[in-house]
Amino acid sequence: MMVNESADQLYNFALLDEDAKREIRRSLLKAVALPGHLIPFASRDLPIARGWGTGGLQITLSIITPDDTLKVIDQGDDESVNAVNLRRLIHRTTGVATTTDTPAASLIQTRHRIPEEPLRADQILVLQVPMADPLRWVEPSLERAITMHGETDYGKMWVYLYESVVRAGDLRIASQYPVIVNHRYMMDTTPIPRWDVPKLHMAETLYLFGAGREKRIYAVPPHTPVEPLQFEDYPFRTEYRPGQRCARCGAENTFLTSHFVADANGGRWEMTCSDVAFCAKRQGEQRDR
Amino acid sequence: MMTIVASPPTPIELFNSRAFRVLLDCLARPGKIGQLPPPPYSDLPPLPDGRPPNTTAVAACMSLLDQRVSFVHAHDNRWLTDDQPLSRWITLRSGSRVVAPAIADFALLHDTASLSLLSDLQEGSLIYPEQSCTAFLCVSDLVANGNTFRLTGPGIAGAATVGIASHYPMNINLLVARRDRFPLGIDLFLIDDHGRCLGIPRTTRILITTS
Amino acid sequence: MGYVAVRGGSEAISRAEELVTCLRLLGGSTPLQLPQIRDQLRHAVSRAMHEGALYAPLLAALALKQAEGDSIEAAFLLRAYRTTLPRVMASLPASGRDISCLRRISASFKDIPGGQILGPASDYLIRLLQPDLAHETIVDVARAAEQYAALVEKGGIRSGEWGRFPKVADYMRQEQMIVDVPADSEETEPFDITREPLVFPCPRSARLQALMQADTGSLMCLAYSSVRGYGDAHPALVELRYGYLAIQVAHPLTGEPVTIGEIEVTETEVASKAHSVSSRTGTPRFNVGYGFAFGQSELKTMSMAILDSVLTQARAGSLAGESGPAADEEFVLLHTDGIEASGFVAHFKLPHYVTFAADLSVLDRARDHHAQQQSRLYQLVDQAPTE
Repeated sequence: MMVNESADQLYNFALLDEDAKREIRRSLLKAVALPGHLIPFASRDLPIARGWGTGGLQITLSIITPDDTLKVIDQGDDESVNAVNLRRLIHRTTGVATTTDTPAASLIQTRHRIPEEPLRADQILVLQVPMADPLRWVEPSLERAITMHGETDYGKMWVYLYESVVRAGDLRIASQYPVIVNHRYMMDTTPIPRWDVPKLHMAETLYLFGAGREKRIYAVPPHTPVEPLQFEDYPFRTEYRPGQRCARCGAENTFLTSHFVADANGGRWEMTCSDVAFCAKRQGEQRDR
Repeated sequence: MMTIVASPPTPIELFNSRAFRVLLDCLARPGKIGQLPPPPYSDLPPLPDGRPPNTTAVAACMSLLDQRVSFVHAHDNRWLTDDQPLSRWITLRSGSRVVAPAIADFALLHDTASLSLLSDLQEGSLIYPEQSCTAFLCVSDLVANGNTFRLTGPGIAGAATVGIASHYPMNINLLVARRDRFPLGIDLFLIDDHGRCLGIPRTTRILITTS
Repeated sequence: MGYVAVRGGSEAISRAEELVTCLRLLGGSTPLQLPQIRDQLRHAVSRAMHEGALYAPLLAALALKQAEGDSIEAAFLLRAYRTTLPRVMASLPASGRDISCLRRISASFKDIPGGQILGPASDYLIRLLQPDLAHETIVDVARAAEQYAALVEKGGIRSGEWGRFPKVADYMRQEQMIVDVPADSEETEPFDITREPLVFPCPRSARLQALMQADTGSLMCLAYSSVRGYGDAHPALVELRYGYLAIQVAHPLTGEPVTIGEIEVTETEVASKAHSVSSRTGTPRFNVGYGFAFGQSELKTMSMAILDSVLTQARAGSLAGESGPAADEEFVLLHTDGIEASGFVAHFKLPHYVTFAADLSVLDRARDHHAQQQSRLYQLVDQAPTE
């Protein structure tokens, strides 16, 4: 018995079968109605490994229409190998137009960054989530954690933060920063830098979060309060350092990462914008002047 | 250039995906009046009084139905049985079955005369607030900046006002009732005769502005 | 001059794919044919099938070939393929009682009705490498066929139901030695873990499905821990069966059962010597654990059965002594799926430089804080009166 399939067998539009898309769509509606709350869903097996973006991918595949223009980034970079892989899978199974220009995209799937250019009401950002429950730092059992969320019993988390201040002199959480959404549910912001956390608060755009391996979906609607956990005397701070500057485009107010650049003198370490497309655009504008 | 390995969506699939974007947008931005695409169905069986149902509303509700979820629908303040022609029409095409209202995942109220039946629907639990009904209500007209409701809450910049008109007498208070039990609650879509859509999730606070 | 972005992402992926593809054949050896893998590596095929949750021996052979023998990767390919298949219908419930056994043993009793049938058992083989396997030819294939025919003749032709035996567990049930795990009262249909998300506590049907497609090594590790003291297992093998099971569906028009084929399966039942307390009023009985998998998969089904018994007892609250992760259903089911576990462990190879930059910023602050503490300390020391 050998299944007879030619190389150009046609899959369903956007790969997922309609039942899978419907389940995710139903979950997304509930997620929007319950900002920050984790909705379980029956995550499908995909040709991409778990842990490599299957949650975000399933959301994108379930909501994408032929009218969309898609952007996919990883660490802020459209050309990161994983972003390229996801983008080509989505393009191959939908035919949808793609772009690297944030303002030109209607649907953006991202891993670990929110783009620098403010997103509009007609755009949707889909974030890839590795670990969905913010309470896992203090309660790894999902069964117990779900009760804590239901009863707004977040005391353990506050104790954890307090202890981190005592030990390290400041809030210790670098990314996956916990926030309270709509004054109710504690939510994991995914491994975006603290730099990007304020962008979730009272935003114009809709944020959708997909965890494929953990099988959870959640959302932050626009114009919704998103407040990072902090103490009065130890407030939430981003990674901003006064005097920071991108070595390529000169921006002083973007999230920078350091990387090695080979040159004639053996190479040097540079701090540059992690949002590569934005940085390139700025450089292009500077040259055109 | 990569070869596209997926077939284009069928008309029903295309409607479902475009309609979903409108539903998602309306629920995420209560007060914004969205426009649903034209439905891919025609010649629906009539309601018990012989009138045709709102095809766009039926299609929008059906876009979310399949054999894993259940539904109920009501007309003239009565839940319709599963052997009613429209019930069978929906079940045949979606695989979703009519069940008791208290356990239904989706509800479609064909008229505002059925508003009191909203209290029959499930509102979820503290641990699983998402296990609650999503309801669709047919009205005649939705107008942005109208004077029926003033809406505030997540998804709304400041406040939004909407006007709702209906063929049948409508007890507006029934729409506002039972909305103070967050995270429990029903999430609601209003769809008018022109395929326009208004979303009211359980997080929205409603102030009645009409007298 | 415009900024020329030397972006190598797409290029890099294409080259990587090409490299993997040709590396497999660079050795110059004859390409493997799927029947060779299916016939001569049948344990690898069994494992790919039960971890891939798809009964398709030739496709499993293809997956193993494509994955260059990586068993988790092969299972992954089958799972991804399974997702694309339309769900036609569900079979009628099949019972292990109907297995036509090639092998059937029990450790709980010396002799059982029908007898102990060792069958194709590798348990008693002496593990010495056999160099002559390196020189097999078509002649050996013919010889194997002759040898098999001779064995069959020696066994004698039996008429009637071939390889059918009563269940040892049925006898134990009759004697009220074992408890039957009560069906979850709300469940009429078995849970489907591919269609509904697993939330805890979960129904037993969900647990068994998850265990069946779990990574064999992970289950083995946890089952092993549970018999070494980290759980209240104390299992006794009631019966292990390996053979063929006919699968039936209800005819779409008449509703009559129709056999659509046979699958090769292994089934294991264990009794746990710890007394079950699931019934407060009934007489004490042994608890039961169940394991089932495609192919000849004895390690998988035994590990599965042991864990099933431990988890049932843990749920009923009847564990004595130390308990460990094997008794925690959420821990077991969430960490034993090979595709999920390998995917997430491997994902640390993905770029994480943004979070690392964020981590560095927190490290900086911690260092500043430490430096401040140190300088304050020195100040105090300097200011201390020197009498």
